[in-house]
Amino acid sequence: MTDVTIRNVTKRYGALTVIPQLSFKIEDGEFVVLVGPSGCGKSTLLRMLAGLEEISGGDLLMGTEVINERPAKERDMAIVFQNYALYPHMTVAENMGFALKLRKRPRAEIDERVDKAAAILGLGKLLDRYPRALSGGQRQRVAMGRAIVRDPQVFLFDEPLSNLDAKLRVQMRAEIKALHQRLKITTVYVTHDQIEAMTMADKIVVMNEGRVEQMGTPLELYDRPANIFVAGFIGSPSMNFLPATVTTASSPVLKTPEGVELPIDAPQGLAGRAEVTYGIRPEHLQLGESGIPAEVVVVEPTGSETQLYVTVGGREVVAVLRDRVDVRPGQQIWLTPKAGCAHLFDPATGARITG
Amino acid sequence: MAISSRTNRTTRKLLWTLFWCVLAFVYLFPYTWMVLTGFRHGVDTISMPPRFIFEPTLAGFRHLFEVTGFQKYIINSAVVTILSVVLVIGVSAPAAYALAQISKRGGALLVAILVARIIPGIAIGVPVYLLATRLHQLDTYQALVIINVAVNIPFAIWLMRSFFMEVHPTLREAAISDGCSEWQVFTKIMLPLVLGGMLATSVFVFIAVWNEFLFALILTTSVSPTAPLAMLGFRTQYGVQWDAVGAAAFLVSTPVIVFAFIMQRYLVQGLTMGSVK
Ligand SMILES: Nc1ncnc2c1ncn2[C@@H]1O[C@H](COP(=O)(O)OP(=O)(O)OP(=O)(O)O)[C@@H](O)[C@H]1O
Ligand SMILES: [Mg+2]
Repeated sequence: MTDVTIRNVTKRYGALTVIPQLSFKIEDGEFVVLVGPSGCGKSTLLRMLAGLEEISGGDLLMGTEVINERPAKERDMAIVFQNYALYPHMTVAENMGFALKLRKRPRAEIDERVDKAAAILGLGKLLDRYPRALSGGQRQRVAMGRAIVRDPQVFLFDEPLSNLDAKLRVQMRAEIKALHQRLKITTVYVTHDQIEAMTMADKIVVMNEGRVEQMGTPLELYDRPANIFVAGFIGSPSMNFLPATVTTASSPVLKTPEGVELPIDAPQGLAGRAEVTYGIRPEHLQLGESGIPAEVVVVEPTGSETQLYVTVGGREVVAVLRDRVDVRPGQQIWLTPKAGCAHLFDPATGARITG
Repeated sequence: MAISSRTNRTTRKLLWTLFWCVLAFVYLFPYTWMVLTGFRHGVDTISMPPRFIFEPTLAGFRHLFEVTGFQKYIINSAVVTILSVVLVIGVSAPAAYALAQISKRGGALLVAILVARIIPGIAIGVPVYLLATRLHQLDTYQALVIINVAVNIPFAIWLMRSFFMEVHPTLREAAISDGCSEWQVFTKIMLPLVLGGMLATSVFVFIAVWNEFLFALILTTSVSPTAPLAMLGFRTQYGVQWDAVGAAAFLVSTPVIVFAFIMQRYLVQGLTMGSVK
C-alpha cells in the first residue's frame, strides 16, 4: 500500500502534446476516479502510471520514491483493461495465477491465492474454463481476479465496466466498491459513467485536455463546481446555463439577453461585472408561483420523476421534478430555483464567481 | 412458383458443380499425367495418339535410384529445406512480433525488407556465386541454406506480422504488467496464439525452399545438389528420359503435397486470419 504522486507530468507523442502538465496526489488506500471527455488523456495517464507508456517530463512517485524509470513489472500496480485482455490460451485459473507463476512462487501458494480470489469474486466453478467460454461479466471478474491475486500496491482500472449491460454494471459497481472497502488498496479508476464516478469515488479528478479542471469529493464537485466545464460535466442531466447581464440599482439584478429576470439569493461577487453565466441544475428547479417564466416544450414522465423540457426566453432549459405534474406542451409556467442552488460563472474564463 | 424456384436452384447447383469439375480437371490433369508418365515406358509416353491404357512399369524409378543416385538429391533437399525452414521461422517470428507489436515505425522498415524480396534471383546470381567462391562455400549445405533463408525471411516476416497484429495490443501490456519480459511475452503469450499462422508460414517457406532451383544450380555441383537439379540429368543426347522425369517429379512433389495436406487446417485458419480471438 502506498500513496502515488503525479508531479508536473507531461506527455507528448511527437509534436502532439496530450498532457501539458498534470499534478495531483492519490492518498494511500484512496479510491480516485478519473473522469473527462473522450481523448482527454485518462488512459494515457493510467498507462504511464502502470509503466506501459513513458512520461515525457515530470515525476511519478510511489511514497517518496521516484518511479519514472522503474519498469512496469517492478511497479507492483495491477491494471484492468476495458477489453479485459485475458490470455485466450489459458484457463481462468492460469490467467489469474500467471503473474505469480512468473515470480516463481510455489505451486501451493499460487493455488491458494487463486482459490481465495476466485471465492471473493464467485469464480470458483469457472476455474478450468477458457475465456472464450465465459460471459462478459464473468470475463470482467476474471480480469479483476487477475489483479487481486497479485495483491498489488495499486489497482488501475480503465473503464472496466463499460462493456457490460446496465444491470450487470450496477452489480459490479457495488462489488468493486465492496472489494475496495475490504482490501483498502489504492485505486485509480477511469470511467465515463457519471454515476460510477459519484458513487464509487473517495475523490474525483475531472480532466480536460490533459489538465485537471477540479479535484475533490463527489459532493464538493456537485455542490461547488470550480468552473463551467466541471459544472456541466458532473451531474446528469447536465446543469442549465443561461447568459445574463448584470444591472445594479439598489442591488444587482440578472437578466438574460431576452430580458427574463433570473432570481438570485446571494448577490456577492457581482460588483463591477457586466456579464455572468447563470447555472442551475435541472433537479434544483421546481414548479412555483414565481421565479423564471418558461414555456413547456416536452414532458417526459419516467415514473419516479418527470423531465420537463422548457424554453426560457427562447433558450432550452431542462427541469427534473420529483412530483407528477399536470402540464402540457405550450403551457406557460414558473420555475422556482431552489434557494442557494444557483451558480454564477465568469463567461470569459468559465471560473466560478465566489458566492 | 415454389416449383420454378426449386428448379432454378437445382440448375444453379448443377452449373456450379460443372464449373468446379472443369476447374478440378484443369488443375489435376497435368499432374495426373505427370505421375502416370513415371509409371510408363518412355515409348508409351510419346506415342501418338496418347495412350491412357498402358502396361505399368517401375523402370523409371529403378533408373532414378540405381543409375542417377536420386536418394542423395532427396537427402540434400531434405537437409537444406528443414534447416532453412527452422532458421527462417526462428528469425522471422521474433522480428514479426517486434514489427507488429513493439516498434511504432515497423511499417517503413517492412517496406524496405519487402523490396529485397522483389529483386529477381537471377540479378544477384553472379555476386552470390562470387561470394560463395571467395568464401570457399561452393557446393556446401550452408551456402544453400543461407541464401534460402535470406530470400525467404522478408516474406515470412511480412506474413507472420499480420498474425501478430491480430493479437490485441492490450494482451502484451497485461502480460508486461503481470511481470513478463519482452521475450516472455513472445514465448508465453504470443507464440501459442499465432501457432496456426506460424505453421502456415512454414508450409509456404517449405514449399519455396523445396522447389528452389536457381541458387541450387548456381551454388552446387556434386556434393549438395538438391532434387530439382536431378531433373536436369534426364535430358540426354538421346532424348528425354520421360519415365525417370515423371518418377522424379512424382517423388519431389509428394512431400509438398503431404505436408500441405497435414497443415491444411492451419493454412486455411492462418490465411483467413481467424487464428486469434
Ligand atoms: N500512441 C499514440 N500516438 C499518438 N497519439 C496518441 C497515442 N495514444 C493516444 N494518443 C492521443 O492521446 C490523447 C489521449 O488519449 P487517451 O487514450 O488517453 O484518451 P482517454 O481520455 O482515455 O479517452 P477515452 O475516454 O476515449 O478512452 C488522444 O487525443 C489520443 O489521440
Ligand atoms: Mg481511454
